[in-house]
Amino acid sequence: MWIVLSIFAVGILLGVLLRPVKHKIKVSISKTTFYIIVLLVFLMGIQAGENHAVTKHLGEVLGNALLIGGFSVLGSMLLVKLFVSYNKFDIGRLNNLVPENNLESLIVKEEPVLHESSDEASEVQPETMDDVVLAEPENEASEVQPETMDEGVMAEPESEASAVQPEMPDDDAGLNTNNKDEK
Amino acid sequence: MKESKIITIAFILGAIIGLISITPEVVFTSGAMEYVLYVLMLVVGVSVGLDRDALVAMKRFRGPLMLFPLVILGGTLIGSLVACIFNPYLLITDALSIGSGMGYYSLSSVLINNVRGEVAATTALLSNMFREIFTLLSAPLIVKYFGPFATIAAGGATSMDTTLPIVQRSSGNEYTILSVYSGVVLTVLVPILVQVFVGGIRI
Repeated sequence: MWIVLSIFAVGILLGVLLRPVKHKIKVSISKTTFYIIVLLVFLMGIQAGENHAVTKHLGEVLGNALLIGGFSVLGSMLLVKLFVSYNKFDIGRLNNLVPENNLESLIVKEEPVLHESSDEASEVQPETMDDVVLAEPENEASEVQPETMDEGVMAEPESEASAVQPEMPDDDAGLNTNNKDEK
Repeated sequence: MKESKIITIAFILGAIIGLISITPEVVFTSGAMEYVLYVLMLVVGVSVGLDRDALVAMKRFRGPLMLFPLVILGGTLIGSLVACIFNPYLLITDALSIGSGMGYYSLSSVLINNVRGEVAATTALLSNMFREIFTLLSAPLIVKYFGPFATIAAGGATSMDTTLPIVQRSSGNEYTILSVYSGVVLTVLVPILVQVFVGGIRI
């Protein structure tokens, strides 16, 4: 156990030390992780196939998986519900805990916030990022990091903005924690 | 979901090859898998260390909300213990190690396979896959009956990537950053907890 944990800790330390030269690393860490996991899962599949205990008791394995999975999800949801109701968290409080400029980089807005009414919007429709910033002089967050906003939060024609689902923040949008789609 | 499919196909393909027994014995007797696992842990560690934004996210929350991922973890472990009541043949350490995979099925099953063998590892793989699939399919119902915070809880470690879009859609944009924060913390904790529980909590 300690060997694996020690290697994990060494990896974190190595990652922290490599941060200044992160942009020079040509190998994709997330892809490397994924390929190794695929290899290991494939080998694990071979072992599972060879092991008659797995194939013979497949129903039991599946039952246990559903039992543990079901109760662990249920347990976490119930405890979170209790925790939230005890602390009386609301979404306003949640927003206050996060600096606005950081929140903006993560959250995709439903609609452009550049105008008060649709009539005004049709007259003054900003076309570039610079226009967006100028249109919101009081919004400091927009001024300090215009490059973090992707096209998903840019102004769109009003009819399209209401019809199109908002996209997820992409890799350039702030907290890109990346790397483990293979969960 | 593409990666999930590839991993599922890799497991099924491996299982078929295993069933018809055409694998050279040397693959498993040489300890090669263990060394590959060590490389995996190193690479996962490097990716966590390199990810400056993830660490920044962990510093954003103050007060009780900072404990949010730990509450999810606590609920998961309690749920895993409850599962042992329904199946007395289930070892508590197995249930805890499988539960503490928190939806990170690929890594947790590989870690469990290394110590507890194929049966527990296959259970871990299926159990944690179930968690992810359940979250993806039932998010609107989860919000209805358990509130908007519960989708993040259901997603576990996957709430920072795979289930993040569904959290955003079902709970709301305001929950996205908490979802990322929670996912990051739990992802870092998964390998540690799985190892601790699967090793029988020995110091």
